[in-house]
Amino acid sequence: MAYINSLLPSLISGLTTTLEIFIITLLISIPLGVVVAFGRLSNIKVISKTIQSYILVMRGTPLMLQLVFVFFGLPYIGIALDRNTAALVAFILNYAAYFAEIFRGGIDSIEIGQYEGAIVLGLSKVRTITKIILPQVIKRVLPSVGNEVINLVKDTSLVYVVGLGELLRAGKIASNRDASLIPFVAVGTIYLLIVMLLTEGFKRLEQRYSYYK
Amino acid sequence: MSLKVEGLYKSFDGNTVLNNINFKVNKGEIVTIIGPSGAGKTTLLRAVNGLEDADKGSIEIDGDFLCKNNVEGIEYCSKKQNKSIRKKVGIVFQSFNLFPHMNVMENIIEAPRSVLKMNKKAAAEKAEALLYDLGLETKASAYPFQLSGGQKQRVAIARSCALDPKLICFDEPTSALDPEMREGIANIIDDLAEKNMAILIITHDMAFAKRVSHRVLFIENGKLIDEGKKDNNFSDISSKRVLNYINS
Ligand SMILES: Nc1ncnc2c1ncn2[C@@H]1O[C@H](COP(=O)(O)OP(=O)(O)OP(=O)(O)O)[C@@H](O)[C@H]1O
Ligand SMILES: [Mg+2]
Repeated sequence: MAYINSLLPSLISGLTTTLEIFIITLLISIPLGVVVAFGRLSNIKVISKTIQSYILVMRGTPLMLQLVFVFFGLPYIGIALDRNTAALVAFILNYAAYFAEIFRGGIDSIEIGQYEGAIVLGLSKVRTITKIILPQVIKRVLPSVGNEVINLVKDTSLVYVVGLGELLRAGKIASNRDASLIPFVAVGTIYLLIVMLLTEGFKRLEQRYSYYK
Repeated sequence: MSLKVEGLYKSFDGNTVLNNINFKVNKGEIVTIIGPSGAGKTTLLRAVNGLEDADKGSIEIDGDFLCKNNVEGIEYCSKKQNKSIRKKVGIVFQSFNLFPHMNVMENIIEAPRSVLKMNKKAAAEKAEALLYDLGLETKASAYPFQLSGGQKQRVAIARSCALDPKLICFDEPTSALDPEMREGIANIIDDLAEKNMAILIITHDMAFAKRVSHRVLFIENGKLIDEGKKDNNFSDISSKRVLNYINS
């Protein structure tokens, strides 16, 4: 027990980095994903094609490679970002692409009659999207979004490649130093707790949307 | 005059679906368009509601032109005019298209609130009166999935009526109803006409068309080919083919 207590300061510091990446990525990539999804569905060819290629690249290459590229590659074309920003940029761009595909599926699944119902009532486009379409999309995409959010928790461990000290790295350092597996057990438990919390949160969210069919 | 359609043409990929359609619906008049499958009924109704753009011709709703001919062909009204025409025409879709995440009250007051800018209290009072008239006073807080087909239809009617349209269109209003409920919807439509609304119905249901309409128009291959009036017990229909159809 005393040993675990002695690990806590470094694990908490790693956890802070992990949570920071996690929260900021979510806060930006979800709204960005909505915008990208509408762009992907746009009738303007240039927009939808560009976005299609962006999504292909983001989903078609490993996130680790994207991290490396943003941090080590971009300086060659004059864009030098600090470790934190680089990690966030890569994560946000990557996750926005995944969220966009989920939202696109959700938007596509809304019957045309919902749009026509809104049109004949004279609702504005903005009102139709925000009040009629998106609330229904949210209900339909919640399970997939929940999955993706849980993936993100675990993916944050990749930021060690740009030299950030996140949770898993903190555990690894302690494990090497003390020749013990206990730090890994502690780290695993922390991930598990976070995922359990998120799972419960999404369960409640889904319940909140279960008042209609 | 609540609706006047003149010289309306529409084709899909070279296939002419509406071929020189001309007709009117007066205030308080119930006009039904019947005809075989694929004749163009739904397309016509969608054009009147601005959901389908015509190729040529004019559609006039309560004195405002949704579209009319110009030298190049057809000209649609401006966005601003479109907004004011929208309020004058309503449609009850065959599948109702209620908003599933909103309860009955929210479905009805959405447009009065956001389009007519009514305050919540006034909009709710009006909705309650409509629900009462339609026998739905206990359903204000129900969600669409909790309603029967006939109840959903009446909510859709209330939702249209909340904007005080001059013209209401019905797409196959009896398709989701059992025979007893047909009389119910017929009575509702009679009431709307008595309040001086113009009613345009499309249906396959001959018995219903005869029960509810002041005039029945027959459409075939995108052309209106015959017309019968209730006053004459539809005996002014001349075409044998149509007579057979009507009496079947
Ligand atoms: N969006 C569209 N694109 C191409 N063709 C269409 C479209 N909508 C309708 N059509 C064609 O137009 C013709 C008329 O269709 P419409 O739906 O108006 O017929 P209808 O009289 O309502 O038939 P029903 O009684 O079966 O509902 C049909 O041949 C149909 O295939
Ligand atoms: Mg039809």
